[in-house]
Amino acid sequence: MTSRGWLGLLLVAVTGTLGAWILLVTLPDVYEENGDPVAALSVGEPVEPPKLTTATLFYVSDDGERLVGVERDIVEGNVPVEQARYVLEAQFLAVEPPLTSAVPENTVLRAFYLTDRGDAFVNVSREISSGHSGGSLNELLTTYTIVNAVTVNVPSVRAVQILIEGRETDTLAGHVDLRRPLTQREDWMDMAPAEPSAPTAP
Amino acid sequence: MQRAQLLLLLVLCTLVAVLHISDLSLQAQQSLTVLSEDGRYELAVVSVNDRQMVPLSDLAKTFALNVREDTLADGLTVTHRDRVVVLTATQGLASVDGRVVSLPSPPVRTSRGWQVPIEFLSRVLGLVIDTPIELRRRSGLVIVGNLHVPEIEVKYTVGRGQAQIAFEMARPAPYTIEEGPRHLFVKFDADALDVSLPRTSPDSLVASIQLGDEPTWLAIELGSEYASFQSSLLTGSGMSRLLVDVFSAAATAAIARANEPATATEGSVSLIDEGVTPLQELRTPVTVRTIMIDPGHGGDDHGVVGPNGILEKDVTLQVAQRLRRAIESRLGLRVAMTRDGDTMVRLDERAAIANNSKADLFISLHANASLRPEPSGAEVYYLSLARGGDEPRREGSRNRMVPLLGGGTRNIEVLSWEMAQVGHIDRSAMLAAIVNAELRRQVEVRAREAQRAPFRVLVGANMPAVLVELGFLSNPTQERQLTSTPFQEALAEGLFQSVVDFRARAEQRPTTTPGSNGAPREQP
Ligand SMILES: [Zn+2]
Repeated sequence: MTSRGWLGLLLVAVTGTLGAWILLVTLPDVYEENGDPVAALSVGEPVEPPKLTTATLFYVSDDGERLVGVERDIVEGNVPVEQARYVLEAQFLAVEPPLTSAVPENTVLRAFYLTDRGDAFVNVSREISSGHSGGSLNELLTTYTIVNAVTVNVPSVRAVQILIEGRETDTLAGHVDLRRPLTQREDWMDMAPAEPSAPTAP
Repeated sequence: MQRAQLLLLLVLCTLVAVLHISDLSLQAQQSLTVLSEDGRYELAVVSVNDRQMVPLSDLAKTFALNVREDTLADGLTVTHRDRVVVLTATQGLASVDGRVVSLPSPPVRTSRGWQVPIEFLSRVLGLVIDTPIELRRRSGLVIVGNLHVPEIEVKYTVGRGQAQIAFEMARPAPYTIEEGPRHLFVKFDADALDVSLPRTSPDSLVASIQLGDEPTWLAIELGSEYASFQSSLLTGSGMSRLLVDVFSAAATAAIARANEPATATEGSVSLIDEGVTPLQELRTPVTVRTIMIDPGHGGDDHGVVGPNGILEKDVTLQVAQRLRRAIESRLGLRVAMTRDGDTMVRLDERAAIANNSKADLFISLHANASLRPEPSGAEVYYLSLARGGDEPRREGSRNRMVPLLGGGTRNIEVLSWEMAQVGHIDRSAMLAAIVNAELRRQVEVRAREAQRAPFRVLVGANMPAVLVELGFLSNPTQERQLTSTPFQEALAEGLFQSVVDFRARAEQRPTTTPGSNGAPREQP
């Protein structure tokens, strides 16, 4: 065989390998995301128009220092889990100035779980971390946007833990500990004096 | 041309076929441990196309299943007594007596016969044999029937003269603790244990934590300085925690002293809030020898990037180096840094470095960012506990009285024991207040008071610890300031004076100038 022939064969082999890789490695991942134990066979979609309810969503204040609540009409969920999903989906929508969201753009809600104890798990896409501009103030505002949006609007939720792409995560950008569920903070920060620990002469 | 195309197609097909076969070639990867009333055995798991599967023939033998292949319908029929399961080779679906159950993939035929995904065990087989089957992927356990196999996560924290082994369980499992000559045996009343053990290195109190001779025992191998132990079971909010504290002789004596009737007052209760270092009570002087400075971020983690491209990781390192020079040259104290170059250091590693250096103070340096350009000023934080534990001592209902060695009780905050910082919150608050006041003499400080936040880097620090945001890099004016030598020196000076002040208070040396906050001024 000529060298051109070998070259051709090499090309064919590379193409073949690539094709096989796509067939065997990539495609199964695409169609195998099917985690439910019982095959979902949804029957009969409700036809009546959805009921609305007022939810408080949280955005960055004009001075950039804290979160402010903004009331919005959203679809009313039948159960707490559904309600929390609607709240978070509304919270994650892009907003126009003058509103600014502390949640990075393109962050989407992947899933929401609620335990009997009232611990909620908010599973979001990786943009919440990869698109984060850092700084502990920003990170606190992002974290408590989510924690407050859920706890304020869904009273049965006591604490919220944020997961990224289904995994427990250390922090969004290097500061706020996300390994445990967080409870609501009224103004993202406890500004109250630090009780007896303020310095006093010994 | 046509020949070339044909050749291409042929080679492609061959490659696909070869790869497919090699991909299907089964590598015995690992196994699952099946626990049932009849005992325990291993079930081989094979990886097919990156999917964990088990040989159907193995299951057939163990669970008395009858497997029939239906070549016409390209499927399998599995029967057990009067139960019938139909599996198709094309879809991840099984029909169990007419009920459709999904599986992550269809069964696959290999050279070793039919393989089914491991989810078949819990989703299908349980229905077939009318016995609940639980698949625990993390530990590779398959639990057949109603066996009591508690999941136990073991955590280990070591402090000065005291170490704690925490056994965290979703539900309390009855246990007894027996002390042997070189071991403490924690014996659980269960059918088996599903344990995840911490990776520990031997220290003077605990040499190792391992599975015991019986499958429901855990063995704590004791170190040379071990003198006594105490245990307590804390239950609450869906989690049960068995705590085994081991003490050195000195710590044992200190606890006994604290529990003597004469001193069993309010004061002895606050000993408990000091967590893993009971000897460090606010009123007890401590010596400050080593200061740990933690320059935030580093390496690929740039932290905040200012509008003109200034990186948080550079600012924090520069200020850290200035502070180190000041402390070393003017106070003569030992200074250690979690990083001294542009390197990435994980957050838990930073606390570990500080703990291993036996540092007496931990100062983490960061620069802040807001989505708006206006905010400016420094901020000082100390740890707030993640879960509703911001004020643990005020919430009496969350606390429990736990018996102490040698009688008496102590008050334990239920959730935060694995976090070393919990024992130092009072001193951290003191340090934060001092830093807030001292920085204010030098630069703009945003908040009136030191604040609390659940910051990850502080959680594991076994010493008083604060996180200082030096200023806002997102503010263009502050960005310029934060890179300037005079501003960085002013920050370093404020932090330096904080160390001086904290040390004086902690060591309870008389203050020379009882000014507004009582801080002595240290002259260079
Ligand atoms: Zn930072």
